[in-house]
Amino acid sequence: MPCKNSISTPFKLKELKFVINIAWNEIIILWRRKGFQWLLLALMVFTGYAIVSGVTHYREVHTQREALKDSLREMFLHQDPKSPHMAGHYGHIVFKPYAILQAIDQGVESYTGTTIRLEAHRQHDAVFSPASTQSSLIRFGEFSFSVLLQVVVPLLIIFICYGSIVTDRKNGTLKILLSQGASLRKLVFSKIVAYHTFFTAFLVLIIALFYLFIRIDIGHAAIPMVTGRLLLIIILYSMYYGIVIALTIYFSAVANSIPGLLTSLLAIWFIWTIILPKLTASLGAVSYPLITKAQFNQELTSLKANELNGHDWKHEKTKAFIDSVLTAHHVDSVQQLPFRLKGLLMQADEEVKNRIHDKVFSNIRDTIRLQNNVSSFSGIINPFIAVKKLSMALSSTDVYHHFHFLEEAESYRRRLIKELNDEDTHKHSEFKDERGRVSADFWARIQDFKYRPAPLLWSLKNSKTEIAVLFLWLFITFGIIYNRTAHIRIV
Amino acid sequence: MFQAIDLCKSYNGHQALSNLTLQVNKGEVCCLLGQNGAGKTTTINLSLGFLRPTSGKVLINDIEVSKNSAATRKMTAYIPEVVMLYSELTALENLNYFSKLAGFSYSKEALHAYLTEANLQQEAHVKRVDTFSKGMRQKVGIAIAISKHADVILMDEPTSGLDPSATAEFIQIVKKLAEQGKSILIATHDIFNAVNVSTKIGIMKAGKLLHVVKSKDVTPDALQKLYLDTI
Repeated sequence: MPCKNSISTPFKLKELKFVINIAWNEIIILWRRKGFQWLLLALMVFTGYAIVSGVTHYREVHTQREALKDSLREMFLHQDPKSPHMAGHYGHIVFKPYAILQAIDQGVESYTGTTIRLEAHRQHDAVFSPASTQSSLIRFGEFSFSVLLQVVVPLLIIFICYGSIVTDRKNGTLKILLSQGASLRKLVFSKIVAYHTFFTAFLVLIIALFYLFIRIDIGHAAIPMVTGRLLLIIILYSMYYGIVIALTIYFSAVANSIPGLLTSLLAIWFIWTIILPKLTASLGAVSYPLITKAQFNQELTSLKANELNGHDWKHEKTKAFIDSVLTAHHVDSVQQLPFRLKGLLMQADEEVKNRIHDKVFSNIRDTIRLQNNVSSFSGIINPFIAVKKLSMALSSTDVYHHFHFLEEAESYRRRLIKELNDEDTHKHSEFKDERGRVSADFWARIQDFKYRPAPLLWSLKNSKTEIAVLFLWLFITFGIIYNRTAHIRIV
Repeated sequence: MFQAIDLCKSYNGHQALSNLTLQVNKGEVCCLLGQNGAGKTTTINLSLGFLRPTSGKVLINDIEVSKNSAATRKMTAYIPEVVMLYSELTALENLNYFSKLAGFSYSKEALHAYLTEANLQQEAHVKRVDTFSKGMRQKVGIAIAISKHADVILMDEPTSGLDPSATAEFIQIVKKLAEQGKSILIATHDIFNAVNVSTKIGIMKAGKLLHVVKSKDVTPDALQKLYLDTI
């Protein structure tokens, strides 16, 4: 008999070989399973569609916004001569750049404005959200990369993994497996390794395809900005799939009934993916209600009414400001000042109104942050929420990235208006004509708005809760499996 | 060697097994006869460490199963009533996989030899088992058991549903394994084949082992009468 050799290797290597053996066998079985290759092909087609449509959409929108931006810059540079103050009221328009990773996760981008008019004295809202220019069908959501990664793949994991142990139990194979020396714990972990390897390989493949596609289609410029984020997206989803696979296989090991198990797993998927995200969003909104736009405007108006007003020289606080300037310069009238008071007054007005805006707007942002915290902490009962929010953060499309853009735009507005007010303050300037109107050379000196996207670390800092929650889920899931599988009944 | 000493198992107040004491020495084949619910499968499950006894113990080569089931499983092979293998794999791949689980890594030639020893036709070795009959699956199960070189082989209703020719082949293999010094415990309903294959027969009822007779001392008819009188 050509029989041989019991494997005599060090303990840990033997254990590893054991796990690899089961895992490899599981992958072969999965690959040969009826219909699996068709399913994989369908998944690849959906993925291809998501990649191509996402990147194509990016290219279209990016090109459109860049063209509009260039044409607005041209208009700004070639505007008619006018006083700096008038120019401040004409203002400028800036666009939110379309981030390439929106092709992976749209986040809140469909619902937030993309265009802001920058004007003196007031902060305008970002307007023209993509959703506002589409049919109501967008409410049902688009088929995007994130839908595929967050909704479709976990569902597929459930369908593929749910029978992994319960079927062996029902048809008696489990008893043969265990009688051969496999412990249930090793069996569960090996199957987790198998399916996790498979789905992580799929994840790496599709992200690599995306990376390749943007490299070819868009070019090298976009790459340094996204490489780190793409790697973290792979790690994020790999962790999430690890949790879903581990729980599915554990429940498969515990279950008595195959239909009952599938129903329960689908119910969990439904609650995690559909119900809880909406429920926690509502809970956040109810717990920390936002003021309405009308209330916001009313609050701004009432606060501004009691402050210095650059357009109302009879206002008590304006008069006090003018008196203090005259006193400081030891003169009796505005005409005696070595500069134009109007420019200085407008800048003072601007700074007062900025402070008021910052105060009211920071209250709103704090409320939104509190609403977000409700859903962030709900990740403790639903890792999907943590994944969804981290995915948006890594794709630079969450609400904090929108705030980041608003802050950058507002900061540019303040620099722009200060330059105009400073120019307005000069009695004589090389850029001004005899009527105080500035020339084209002055506009050329003013740098265009260039949005600097938030760095990766900034994105991660805003997602500390989600990161912690995800690690907690991993730790608890694998802890339970490690400790409880030894107690699962075999027969 | 297989030993059960005062083995008891109760589930939710129901006594599934009461004070079963039985020994199967090297080279012996012991058949346990009894109706459904007599405690035959419970005995096998306890012997494999899938259940913990309420009291008493099972020893495999003098090692107590409930205290060290990992060690005793290495010395035990198990063949169920229906050998459900992985239908996506061939007979050879199934044998290779299950052997590796037991800690053995065999060459292709060795795997073919085990399947041949279990009387599986050569052309079936590389076919997927989803096309196999119950008898053919049983043969792969036997090959798995042989390749494990276990001292004790536990079989649960192994001839149930097999055609006469497959049953005859099966009996020959069991006898051959016994000649090699294996201790074999078979739970079965099949009185006729129990007499043919075993060296001793136990008759169980309601969790109790009521009779143990030597096969050479009893005819199939006498055994049938004793069995019917007992149950």
